[in-house]
Amino acid sequence: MRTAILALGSVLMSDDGVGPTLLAWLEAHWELPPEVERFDLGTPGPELADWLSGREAVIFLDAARLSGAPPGEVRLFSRRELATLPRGPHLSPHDPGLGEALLKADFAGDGPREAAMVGIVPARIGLGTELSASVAAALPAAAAAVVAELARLGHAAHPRERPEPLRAFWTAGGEE
Amino acid sequence: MSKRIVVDPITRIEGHLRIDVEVEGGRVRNSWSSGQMFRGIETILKDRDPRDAWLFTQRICGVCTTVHAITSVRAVENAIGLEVPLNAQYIRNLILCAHALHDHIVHFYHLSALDWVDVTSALKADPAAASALAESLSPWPRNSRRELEAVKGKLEGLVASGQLGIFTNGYWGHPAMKLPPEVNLLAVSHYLQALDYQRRANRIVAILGSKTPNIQNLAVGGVANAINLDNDATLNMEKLYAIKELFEEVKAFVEQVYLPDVCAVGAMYLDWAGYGAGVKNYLSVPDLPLDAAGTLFDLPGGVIVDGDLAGMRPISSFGDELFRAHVEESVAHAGYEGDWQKHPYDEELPVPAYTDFQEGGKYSWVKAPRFEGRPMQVGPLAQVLAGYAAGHPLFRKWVDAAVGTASSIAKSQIPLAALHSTLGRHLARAVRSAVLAELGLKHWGLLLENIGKGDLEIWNQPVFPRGEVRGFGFHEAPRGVLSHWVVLRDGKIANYQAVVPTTWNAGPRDAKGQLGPYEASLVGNPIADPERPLEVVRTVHSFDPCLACAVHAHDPQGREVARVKVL
Repeated sequence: MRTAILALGSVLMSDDGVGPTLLAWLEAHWELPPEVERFDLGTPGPELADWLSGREAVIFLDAARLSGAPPGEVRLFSRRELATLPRGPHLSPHDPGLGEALLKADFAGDGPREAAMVGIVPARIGLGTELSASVAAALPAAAAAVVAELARLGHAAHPRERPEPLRAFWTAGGEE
Repeated sequence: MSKRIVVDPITRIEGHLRIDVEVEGGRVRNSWSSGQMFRGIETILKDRDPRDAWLFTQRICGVCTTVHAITSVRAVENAIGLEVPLNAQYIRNLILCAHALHDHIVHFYHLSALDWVDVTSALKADPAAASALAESLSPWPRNSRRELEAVKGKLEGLVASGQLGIFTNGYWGHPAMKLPPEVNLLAVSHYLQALDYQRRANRIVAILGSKTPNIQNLAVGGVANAINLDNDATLNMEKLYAIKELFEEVKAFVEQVYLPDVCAVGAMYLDWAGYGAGVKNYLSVPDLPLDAAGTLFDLPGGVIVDGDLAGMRPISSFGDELFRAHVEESVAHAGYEGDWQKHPYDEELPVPAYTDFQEGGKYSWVKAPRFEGRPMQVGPLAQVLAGYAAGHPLFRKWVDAAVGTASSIAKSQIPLAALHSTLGRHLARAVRSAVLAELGLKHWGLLLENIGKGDLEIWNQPVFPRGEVRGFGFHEAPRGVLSHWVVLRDGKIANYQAVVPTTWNAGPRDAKGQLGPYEASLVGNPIADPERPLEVVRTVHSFDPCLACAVHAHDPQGREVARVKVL
């Protein structure tokens, strides 16, 4: 079964970069099953569909605005919810979003059967390379949500006894 | 009565674009391009190690990661006078060729073809007739009746399911859609095949860069691809031959599918060779360096003023003085304090001073770049014209072939001047792709030849002097000239500016009131239905914008009368 964790978001735009930072945090604190591939894709635009094709399952990590939800709230989005995300009108390669990438892979006939997103509600999206405190505090819970989704898909992850260095060149506490 | 149409923002983070057009008598009478782009990279980079800058700059933009990475290392290398080993140049060049091929194919098929192709009309096509037509244009093996029947079946399934999936929100049935059903079916079939071929091009970037988006193999001074032809962990024969095969496959797709498709679509919409010229000043930079210092190149660049190809002035090295001296950015109509026009080395983080949209005032967040004080169009057309003017054999060959094919389909001789148009930008992108596919294979051969001589060098160590040094790097990116400008003080970044292609094209008016390329290109465009301004979208798309947008229609008093989605 080809499963991948795909982190999305800009690490130059503070909480928008929670996806890549969460992936780094997850890898530092959890021993992830080797058969699960992990990629920090940043803001991949139309390339996103390529990362879906031929896979059986994907878990996206991304910032998600939810009306009324407090910053740092973690929520799991289903495949159906992702495919029906409101689709912005667009003129440029930046726009094709998550839902559109799923539709494109589906039309090509090789989209993933399973897709879910662990979304974290941002406090602040603006220039900067650090997460705001409430979003940083949500990383353990968000990582647990990813681990639970992996378990549902049949992949076992184990907590590390001692965390590894955070491989996130953009944050003050990270390394390249 | 004039009517106002607004193309307005909805986007994620990188930026958004708003186009206002005033329509009268079925034509665009005036136009304003405004928007937001990522800004503040100077703040993120200040005081950081210049060797790390490329890691950050490639996160400016999700589509152009590779190009911002390479331009950044070139800028730092220029600042400290550092050459890079030949192998590193060739490896970077292979990445640049492959990335651009991927990007150009995606742009035509997945981001703009549906401006011209009516997907729903393909349902009425006769697959046998479509196949016969395709085979008269190209030897491509995947235009068979069976293949086209399967695609038609797939579309029928989509329609029967009650939703158009990825094709929702198109301008289906719009009066400006003119292709016969068979051509529409072929286009949908090639849309699907293009998904595969753009991915093959991108696979080259991934093999060399470890990953895309966000390649990982760069370093100031060269690349991190250790070369050992017999080692699995390094750049070896197996990987090199995989790259060659991918280039050959993509080359066949470009020559037998992409270029003929653009010629056919162009021939059937020939009136669009008469719209969208706009600014006929063109700027391009040389690329694909052939030596360590960056003084010999396989892609030409130059300055063309007012469409005068004979007067083209070449830009000829990474240290080119003509380029270095004449790039400036104006904030006269951008939402920042002051009305300055400055060289990138001297720019500081501008202070926001945005008011509401005002036609005569500060109406955009995008600065207006100028070259010798002029607005310049950048992109594949600029480079193709420079190549044609310079007598570059590959550009001559492919421009003549493309114009010849389009002329024979249209049954009328299309003049070279038709390239100054909305269609011309599409044709130039396809021509550039054909050139890049050949050059990708050439540079693959150069790399192999150089390794064969026993040269395995990939990196020269950078040394950062005390005191202040300045440098710039440029790259002819898929959307045109990209330049980074860096000021280093005691080995740390003191200032950093990126002047990006979409800023050149989408920027607003300057202090003299000169329109930017988007703005100028829209004036005179026909508008069949102001509530579905497909024609505005066609011209803006032809530039391959790096920004997002949506459409509103306004009446002459500025009241919104309709909101239209643009796909």
